Amino acid sequence: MATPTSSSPGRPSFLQADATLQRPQVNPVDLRALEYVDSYDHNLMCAICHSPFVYPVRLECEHVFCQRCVNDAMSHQDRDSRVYSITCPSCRRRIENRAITPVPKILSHILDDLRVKCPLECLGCPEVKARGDIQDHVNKYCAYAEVKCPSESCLLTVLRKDLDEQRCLHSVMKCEDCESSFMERDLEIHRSRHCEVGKASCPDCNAQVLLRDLEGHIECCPDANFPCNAAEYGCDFVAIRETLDEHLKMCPLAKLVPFLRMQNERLEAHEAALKHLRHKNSILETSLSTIQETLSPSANLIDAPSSSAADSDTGPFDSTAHHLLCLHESLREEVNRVSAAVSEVDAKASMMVMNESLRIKEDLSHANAVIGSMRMQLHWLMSARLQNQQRVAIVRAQSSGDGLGSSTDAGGSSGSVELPVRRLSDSTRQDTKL
Amino acid sequence: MAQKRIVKEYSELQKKPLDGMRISLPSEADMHQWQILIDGPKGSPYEGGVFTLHLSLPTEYPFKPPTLSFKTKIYHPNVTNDDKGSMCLGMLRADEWKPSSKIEAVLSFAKALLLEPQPDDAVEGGIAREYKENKKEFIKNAKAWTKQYAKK
Ligand SMILES: [Zn+2]
Ligand SMILES: [Zn+2]
Ligand SMILES: [Zn+2]
Ligand SMILES: [Zn+2]
Ligand SMILES: [Zn+2]
Ligand SMILES: [Zn+2]
Ligand SMILES: [Zn+2]
Repeated sequence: MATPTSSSPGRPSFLQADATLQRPQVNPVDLRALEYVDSYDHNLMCAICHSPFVYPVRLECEHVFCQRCVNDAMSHQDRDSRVYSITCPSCRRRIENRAITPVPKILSHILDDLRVKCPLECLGCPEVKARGDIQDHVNKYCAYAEVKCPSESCLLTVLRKDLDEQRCLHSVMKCEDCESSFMERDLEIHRSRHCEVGKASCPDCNAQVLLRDLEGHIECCPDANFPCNAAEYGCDFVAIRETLDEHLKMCPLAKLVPFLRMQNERLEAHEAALKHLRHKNSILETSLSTIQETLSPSANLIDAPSSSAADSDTGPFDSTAHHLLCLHESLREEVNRVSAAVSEVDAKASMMVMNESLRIKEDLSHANAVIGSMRMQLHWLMSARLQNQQRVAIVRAQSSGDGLGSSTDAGGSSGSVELPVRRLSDSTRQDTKL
Repeated sequence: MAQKRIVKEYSELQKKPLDGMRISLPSEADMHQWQILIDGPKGSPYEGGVFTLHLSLPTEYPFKPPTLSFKTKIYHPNVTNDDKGSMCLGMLRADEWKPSSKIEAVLSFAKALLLEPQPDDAVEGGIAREYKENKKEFIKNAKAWTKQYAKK
């Protein structure tokens, strides 16, 4: 990684150019490594990476982490145990692998609204964007993102801001001062920040200073001209430091500067807060309207609250929060009514089911009785026939077996009639038990 | 990712230091080794002493627990008497460590341990026995060591 800064002059050193411009990985942007501008609720912070959640998931124990943090945690747990389960990093409960569920959409929206600095800030990009838009910013708009060189024949990349030049910036050039070689696109950065030889004269005191130190020198140059502190509020006094100090003691505007600045900051903070609230409000409104839509079949049952909500939609209202509360209240009533209706229907249905099942049970027992008696009769018939056949086979002198075998009526004629009758009563007793 | 969390925890502790503790990095380049100076808590036999602790964060942090050791000799049932001064109990044990625990909690835990040793979880059996059976003697010895090794 580290490259010698004292590479032999004259030789094109691409490595050196790389070292001066270390680029963070932005494809994809690691959202956990971003710098957040807003302060955020500590409940939105992942307990593992200590950043606001990125693609959060919820474990069975209701603890929430970034998807990638859970994966990392899993990969650090024992090999045999992690196949089916994971130990929750917060409460050490064993969680089945599949018991990982997504979190409500609204949480992702809140997280995506957090403002972050562009990951290419270190290269100079000043942009601050909502986290949800930052990948888009880097891919499509960021002036400091790498894009292919406009020259067809060149395979290297340039920064997007340099695209306007419409030519290849990869030819090797020499720094006029130190003779090291650089690609053209890196030369400017070398000259203004790193070159150890190049000098420039201060526009105020004409002293010769290193080009890279010029900015610092102007800050403390005794001859440099500075505007009055209150320049942005209307004072156009410009002088060298010493005179300026005297002026500052008398300038009424300069005295007001802290106050004005505070006011400005407050205004800005209020504007930002307002914007944030507006956005939040619109999210809440859309989610409310989707809730209303899903409830709409029941809405015609209770049209009073929904129509009042529609009224307040058109009319002006003094505060959005109040409006939302009204909506919320009417929705709550609606839900209450629906749940009452549901429980009523539920009770009715269960009564019906009970009655029906009682009836069916009776029918069933009746059928059982019938089947039992049929079985008895069949048994009786079979045994009677068997007996008959035996009797026919052994004693031919007895009464004819034809009548007995062919019809049930014949059963009454023989002495064995008592047997099936007794069994019949037996089976009916069994059936009543059912 | 771990690096960022460590930097964040460090700067938070610098901004809002724990009572009676000062944290620094022996080497600016290595965020994984911390040095902690901890005042002996009031009401404990360590009162009046300043103890140097070393906190080492493994590369797998926060998935593996940090290790905490006393660089200053201390008469305590849960700290080894050798030159390592290591301690390993409670939340610092690998099988009880939670990745969501913060270093702040680890340091508070160490401080609580100075106020109230846990003789049932001891590494120095002799001191633990003395702590349980002859508290007076324990306090006397602990005070003597504090005076000898942990002077301000
Ligand atoms: Zn995380
Ligand atoms: Zn949990
Ligand atoms: Zn950018
Ligand atoms: Zn090119
Ligand atoms: Zn140069
Ligand atoms: Zn100058
Ligand atoms: Zn002025």
